Parts: sequence; structure tokens; C-alpha cells
Amino acid sequence: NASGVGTTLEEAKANTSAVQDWLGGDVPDPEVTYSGDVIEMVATHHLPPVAGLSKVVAAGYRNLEKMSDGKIKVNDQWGGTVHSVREGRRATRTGLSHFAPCFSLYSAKDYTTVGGLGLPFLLNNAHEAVAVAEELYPKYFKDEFEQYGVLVGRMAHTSPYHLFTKDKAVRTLEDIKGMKIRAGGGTHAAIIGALGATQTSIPGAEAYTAMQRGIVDAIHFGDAIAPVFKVHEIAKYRTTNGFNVLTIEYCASKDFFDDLPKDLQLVYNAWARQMAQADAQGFYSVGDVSGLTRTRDAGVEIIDMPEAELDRWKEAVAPLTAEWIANEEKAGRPGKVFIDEVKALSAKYAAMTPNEIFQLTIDSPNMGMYDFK
Amino acid sequence: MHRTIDVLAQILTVLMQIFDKLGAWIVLPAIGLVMITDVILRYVFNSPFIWSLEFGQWMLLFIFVAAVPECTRRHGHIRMELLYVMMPRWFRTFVAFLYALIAGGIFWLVMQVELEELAFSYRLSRITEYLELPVWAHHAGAVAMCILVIAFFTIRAIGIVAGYDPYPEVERDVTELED
Amino acid sequence: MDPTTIGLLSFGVMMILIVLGIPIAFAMLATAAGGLYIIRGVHYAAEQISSTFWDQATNFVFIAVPMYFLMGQLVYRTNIAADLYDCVYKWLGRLPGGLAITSVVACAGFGAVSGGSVTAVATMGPMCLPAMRRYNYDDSLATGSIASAGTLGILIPPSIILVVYGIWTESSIGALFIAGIIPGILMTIGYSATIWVRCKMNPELGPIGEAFTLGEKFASLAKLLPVLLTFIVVIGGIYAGVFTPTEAAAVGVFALLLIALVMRRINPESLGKSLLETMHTSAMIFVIIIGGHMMGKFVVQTGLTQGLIDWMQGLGLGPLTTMLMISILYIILGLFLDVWGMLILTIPFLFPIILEMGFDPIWFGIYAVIMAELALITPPVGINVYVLAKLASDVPLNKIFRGVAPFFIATLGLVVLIVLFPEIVTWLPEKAGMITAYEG
Ligand code: NA
Ligand code: NA
Repeated sequence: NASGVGTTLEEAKANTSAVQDWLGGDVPDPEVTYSGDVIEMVATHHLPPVAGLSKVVAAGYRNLEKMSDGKIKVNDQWGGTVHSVREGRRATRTGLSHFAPCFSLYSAKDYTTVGGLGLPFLLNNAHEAVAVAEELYPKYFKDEFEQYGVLVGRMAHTSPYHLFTKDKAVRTLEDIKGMKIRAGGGTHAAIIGALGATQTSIPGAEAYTAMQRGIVDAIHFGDAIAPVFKVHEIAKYRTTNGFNVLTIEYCASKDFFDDLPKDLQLVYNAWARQMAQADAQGFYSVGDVSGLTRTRDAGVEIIDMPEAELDRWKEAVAPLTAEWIANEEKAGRPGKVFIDEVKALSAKYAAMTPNEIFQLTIDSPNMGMYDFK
Repeated sequence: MHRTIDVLAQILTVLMQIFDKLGAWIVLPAIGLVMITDVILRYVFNSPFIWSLEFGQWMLLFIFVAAVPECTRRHGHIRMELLYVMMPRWFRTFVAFLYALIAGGIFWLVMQVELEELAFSYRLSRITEYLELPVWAHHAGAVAMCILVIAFFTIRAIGIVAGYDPYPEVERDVTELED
Repeated sequence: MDPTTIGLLSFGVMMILIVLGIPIAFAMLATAAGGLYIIRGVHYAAEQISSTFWDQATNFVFIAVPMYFLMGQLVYRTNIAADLYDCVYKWLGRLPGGLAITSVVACAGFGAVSGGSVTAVATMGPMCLPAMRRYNYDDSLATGSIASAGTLGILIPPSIILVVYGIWTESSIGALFIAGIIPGILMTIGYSATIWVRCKMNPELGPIGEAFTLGEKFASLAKLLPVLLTFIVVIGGIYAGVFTPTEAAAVGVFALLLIALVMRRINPESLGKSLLETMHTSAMIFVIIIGGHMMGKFVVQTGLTQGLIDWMQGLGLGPLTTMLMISILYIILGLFLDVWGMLILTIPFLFPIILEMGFDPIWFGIYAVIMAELALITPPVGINVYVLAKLASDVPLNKIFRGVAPFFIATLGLVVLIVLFPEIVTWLPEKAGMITAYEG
């Protein structure tokens, strides 16, 4: 149960019922006193509007309109028609967009501490990762992002990554040695290297064909998104290892937020925190369950390694965390304390149900993400 | 006046051609070499470069930065010539002037933004992931491209106003026509 | 003024600029920048151009564009193209209209080792034309066949247009390449058959050429080797999973250089010319691509796109009627626009409609390329025809356009075929297991 929401779709939906209701339009009604003109928020995304994630995100935008009593109108533009995903941070800084994906992994060297969230076997699922990352944001990440002239809209995360292999079943650590695996940016490439596999850089547009033709032997994906990229059609095996989750931040325009009246700033923050959980639970965690089912139904063999074998993998990648901590400490940042705090919070949220986490987000939203009026 | 324009035009031409040749003889072959080596290392030795994608990506930018000015100077941007070639001289002069304003203006806008990005990247010491190349250097390349192109259109526009086009459009060899 | 009106008006402005003779790339850039300025302000417009430039210029996959051009340049400057022509000539020259058929097949062969279309005309024209004139071929047939056959270069892989289509629509470039093979062969056969039938009916059009002995014919086959080898390395390597289509471009260049070195056909001067030409062509296409992207981004802001999609869907047309309408739209746009301008202005709008109607994105890519081929040969703006007019300066333009007409009809025939039988396009990539599409 890597998804943290159950093993069947019914179970997953029941366990995330609060988020399901929220996405259905059942939102809290915070007080709005602002009586001026309607404010337009331009929200951009690289995915087309028909994508599963887009539908969740779009429902969220309608909720913001509702929660702001219609005072914020979201002009959502899809399919990369305003900027590409790589240009998200710049777009929110320069005013092309007010809210956009801006994944730190596309410019990994611009960040330090946030990269730690992607260390192997640290965070277990999307909604837990979001809860941890947002809670640690004011202390560890705020300056890191704000130096680039942007705010963070949400610290979104994918569900955990597993290994999809084309021809060869991976059951032990020995099996993965020498396998060519498509490497994403940041920590991901390092994990592949630490396992003794070959880091192969293939542009996203060519990834499917590369795996299909055998240029790479395997691809890492979360279960929620693997079927979207039709990985289940070309993979014969999927080895559960859940190495790490990917941090896929959304940036927000600082000018837009600063120009909002105080009451709308509060609404915006409440909404953004709820949206962060809704996106994590509603798309990634639930999608993990349905995606895995779909992958299995397509005839892909699901390989779950015994605990003892998984421990060998954890051992193999352990030096990465040690190395990361050492680098942080060398640069004068509290790497050890950070990892300890991540682990403590991870345990705290792992003990809560998804509905409890969402309720906590509504009842006591994180007030440390922005500088309010 | 004509002489001054001509000298300026020639200096600019030399600069553009240096850029162009650097791109053609160094950057373009370098991209090809790295890609081939990467393929061989991956296919034969199972140990490709992790940085090849990043290298290709940034070097591609330099190809364009190096090639756009010279391509522009050679009147290499395709156009619909049907009406243009039938029209009298004054009309063509007018279109050449309009073109200089439009294209010069566009590169002017790009340059403004690229200067800001240059300062931004420099101030934050941004570097690329694997090769750790300074990001500001890439913006500097884009600014240099803009300066060359803007200079070209400025000199040409001044020349046209002064009644002398330092970059006349000549019939090109068909083997040099492009898709 | 509401944004939709601004959008419509700006299309008028863009067309005026194009007709005046402002380069197409800058007509698009100026219109888009002006439009964005009116709707969202000067800061937004400037940011958008710069961001688009940056984004495109650092898109790794675009490396294929200069590389596939360089291949064409090398084939031309090392006389490998001349060898190719010579061999095809010996085999097909004796057929009715044999020299014209030779031009078609030689252009197809050139297309198999290069990425563009105009390059094909400019390279093969100077070889094909004198031979046909020597045998008193009809001017119209001679020029028309070369101008049309040049377009095979963008359908037969590798193809720069397919590369760019793949990038725009996030479809697999490998699958697009493989999908282009069968339609490319069909089109080569179709063009050849068109010539054969016309010359059979009227032998005056294309008199029979020189005879060669079987020995000479077989001896000439050796001259095909460089082209054959390069094609097999490039397409075979993509298929076998040795490299990606982007890398294949660099491999193709390398293969040609190696062959040319072995044959002692290359020197620093010809290599330098090839490299420089490649730079300029790439720069030109690159600025057009940015211009097209800017137009796309501007038009989205005006709401025109959504309006068009809603309107099309509101009509409730079936897939066939939709394709008919799209084809008519392409033919009309193709009269005035160049390939890049035409595709870049339409793909962003048509692609969602196509997906909505259940067409395969790979299939649509091949369809769009065939429509783009028509744009290259139709008056008043038909680049291939202009290039040929410069090669045959004594043949009036309208005579060339008339010579192109039968090939235009043959191309439409292929369009009908692939619309009615999409398997012609999708079968091979499906067999190779390469067809995939983004799914929500
Ligand atoms: Na080709
Ligand atoms: Na045309």
C-alpha cells in the first residue's frame, strides 16, 4: 500500500472523501470583505485541459473563485500556450502568469535544501510529502524560492517512483546493474548511479520511443502517471521500490499576491493549502491505485521485493543521503537537522488518515508561506 | 556620409562573419561529436555522458546566436517576393525601411529582457546542472546577437534615409537557397 | 475592441506585411508582438518574445534541424547526389518519360538522406534538367516533375518538418519517420505513374533516352551504395534502438563524412560551405518557428482558437467532412503561405480538433506534411517552382505551374487514399509498436 490511501479504487476514494467533496465544489466559505473589482488571476499549465491532472487542478481554480466570492476570477490557460514547463518560474516572476508549475528539478543547481526532499526512501506518498514540505517551507525553502522573485503556490509532489522495465525482470539488486535507465534531473540521476545502473539522458519527448526501441532498458515513473505516458504498453515488469517522490512545485506571482487585499490574501492562502492536499490526494495518491490496477490489467508483472531485499537497496543508496547531509553542513546549512525533521514529520503524517490531514489543512492552514499585509 | 556608412557596414559584416564561422566550425561540429561519442559510449560501452543533453541544449542556443545575424545580413529570411519584385524602387526602399524598423524593434525588445535576465542570473550566480556553465553567459550571447542585428538594421535604415543602402539585396545563387 | 476582433484584424495586418515583402518570420513576430501589446501591454509582449526565443533555442530536439540540413549539403557537395542520379538514369531512362521518372526517383533517393524539400530541388535540378533538355523533353513536364518530386524530401524520412511537428505535438518523431516511408514510396510511384501515363498518351512529351547495357546498369548500382548505406544507418539505427531520431541526425552526418572521406570527395572548402549554409538555413527556420509560436501564443490570448474549435464542434461534422474542410483550408493557405508559416499557424488550432475527432496524431502529421508539399508547388507562392524558375530561366513561371498541375492532382489522390485508408500511414509504425499518444 504505497499510495497511503488503500489498495482498491473504492477504498482510495472513501479514504480521501474529504478531498473528493472539496473537488466536487464543497468548499469552506471564508469571510470576504473586499468589495472592489474582480481580480483576474492568470493560471497556466503545460498539460492539455483533457489530462487527468488538469481536471483536478481546474476544479481547484473554480473553488478559488467560489471561496473568494467571485472576487478572484481565474483565467486558466492550458497546453503550454503561454510558456513551456521549463519557463514556469520565469513566467510567474515576469508576469506572463500568476500561477504555474515551476519544477525545481529543471534547474536543480538553483536550489540546495529543497533537493533533499527527493532523497531516497525519505517520503512515502504524495499527500504526506506535501504536508511535510509545506510545513517545513517557511523555515527551509522560503528564502530559496523568494530569491528568484517568486512565491510558491504549492509544494506539490508526485507519488513514489517505481521501476518499469522493458524486457528484464528486476527482482534483486544484481538485476539492475548495468541497466540503462532514463535519468531525470537532481537526486534521481544519483540514485540510478548508486544502484549500479547506467544514467541515460533522453529528452522527455523521446522517452517513450527510447524505451520502446530499447535505447533505455527501464524508466522510473509513479503509478499515477505511468499509464498517461502509456508505459504499461511497453513495460513487461514493474518492480515496486518507491525510491523517492519528485517535488514538482507551483510558483506564484509575488506582485499578484502583494496586490491582493488582506482578506483575499487569507482566502488565497487557505485555498492554496487545500489545493496542495487536494492535488496530492485527489490526483496522485488515488491515481496511484487506479494506475497500478491499469498497469497490472495490461499484463505487466508487478514485482514486490521481500523486505530483506529492499533493505539491500536502501543500503546501496544510503551514501547519497550521507553525502547530501555532508554537503549541506559544509555550506553552513543544518542538513542533519533538516533530514531529522523530515523524518519526524513524515512519521507524524503517516499516523494520520488522508481525511485527517485535509481537515488539519482546513482548520489550521500554514500561515508561514507568505508575508501577509 | 556614404563612406562612413560603408565602413560601419563592413566592420559589422566582419563581426557577424566571425560569429558565424565560430558557430559553423566549432560549435556545430562539437555538438555532432558529443552526440556521436555519446551514442557509442552508450551502445557499446554502456556508459554514456550524463551531460550530453545539457551540452547539446546550450550549444544549440549558441548556434542560433551565431547564425541569426549573418543570416539576416544575407537577407536569408524568406519572404513573398511576388509583389515586391514587380514594384518600383521607391516601394522597395519603403519596404526595406519598414522591415528594418520592425525587425530592429523586435530585437530591441528581446535585448531589453535578455539584459534583465543576464543581470538576474549573474547576481544569483546561476549555473547549469551537470557542466556547471554560467547561465548569464548564455544570456550574454543572446544580448550580443541582438546588438549585432540591431546594429545591422540601424545602419541599413540610416543608409536608406541617406539614399544609400549599404546592404543591397542581390540575386542569390540557387544552390544556396534554403527550405 | 474585443480580443477576438483584434485577433481577426491582426491576421489581416500579417497578410499585408507578408504581401508587401516583409520576411514571413518578422511579419508574424511583429503582428504577434503588436497584438500582445494591445491586449496585455508592452512588458508582456517583450517577455513573451524573449521567453519563446529562449525556450526554443535550448530545446535539445531541435539539434536535428541543422544536422539533417547538413546531411543534404554533404550529399550535394560530395557528388553523392550526382552518382545517385547517374544510376537511376541508367535504369529508368528508357521508359516513356524515363528521364522525368528518373528525376522523381532520384529526388526520392535524395529525400532518403536529407531533411528538406527546397534543397532537393536545388540539388537535383541542375542534374535532371540538362538531361531532359538534351532529349527534347517538354519544358512543362521537365520542370514540373522536378519541382514536385522535390517535395518528396519532407515526406520520406528523415524530415525536418516531421521533427518539428513531433516537437510541437509531443508525438514520437521515430514513429513519424517510420510512418512517412509507405506514403513516400506511394507518392514516388504515383508521380512516376503520372509521367508514364502522360508520355504513353503523348510520346512527344518525353522522348525515350539513351540505352545502356545490362552490364553498365549493374555496374552503376555501386554508385547507389553511399545513399543506401546512409539511409540504412539512419533509419535502421532509429528502428533498432541504437539511437534517437535526434542523435540519428548526427550519426547521418558522420556516416556521410566517413563515406566522403573514403571516396576522397570532401575537402575543407566544401565542408566549410556545407557548415555555413547549414547555419544560415537553420537560423532562418528558427526565426520562423519563433514567429509562429508567437502567433500561436497571441491568438490563444484572443480566444480565437477556442472560438474556432467550438464552432467546428458546433457544426457537428463527421470525421470525413471535417477532413474535407481542413484540406480545403490547407490548399487555400498553401497558395499564399510557405510551409513553415502554414503549419505553424494551423497545427496549434487543428491539433486539438483532430484529437477530439479521434484521428491519430502520427497520421495527422503525415497528412499535414503532404498538404505542406502542395503549398510548395501551388501559385502564387510556390517556393519549389521559384527555385526551378531560377534554374531554367527561359521557361516562364506559368509553364512550370502548369507542369506541376498533374502532380498536384496525384498528391490529392494520395490524400484521399490516406483519409479513406489511414492504415497506409499507421500500419508500419504500429507494426513496429511505435504508435502512441498522450492520454489524460
Ligand atoms: Na527526407
Ligand atoms: Na503555394
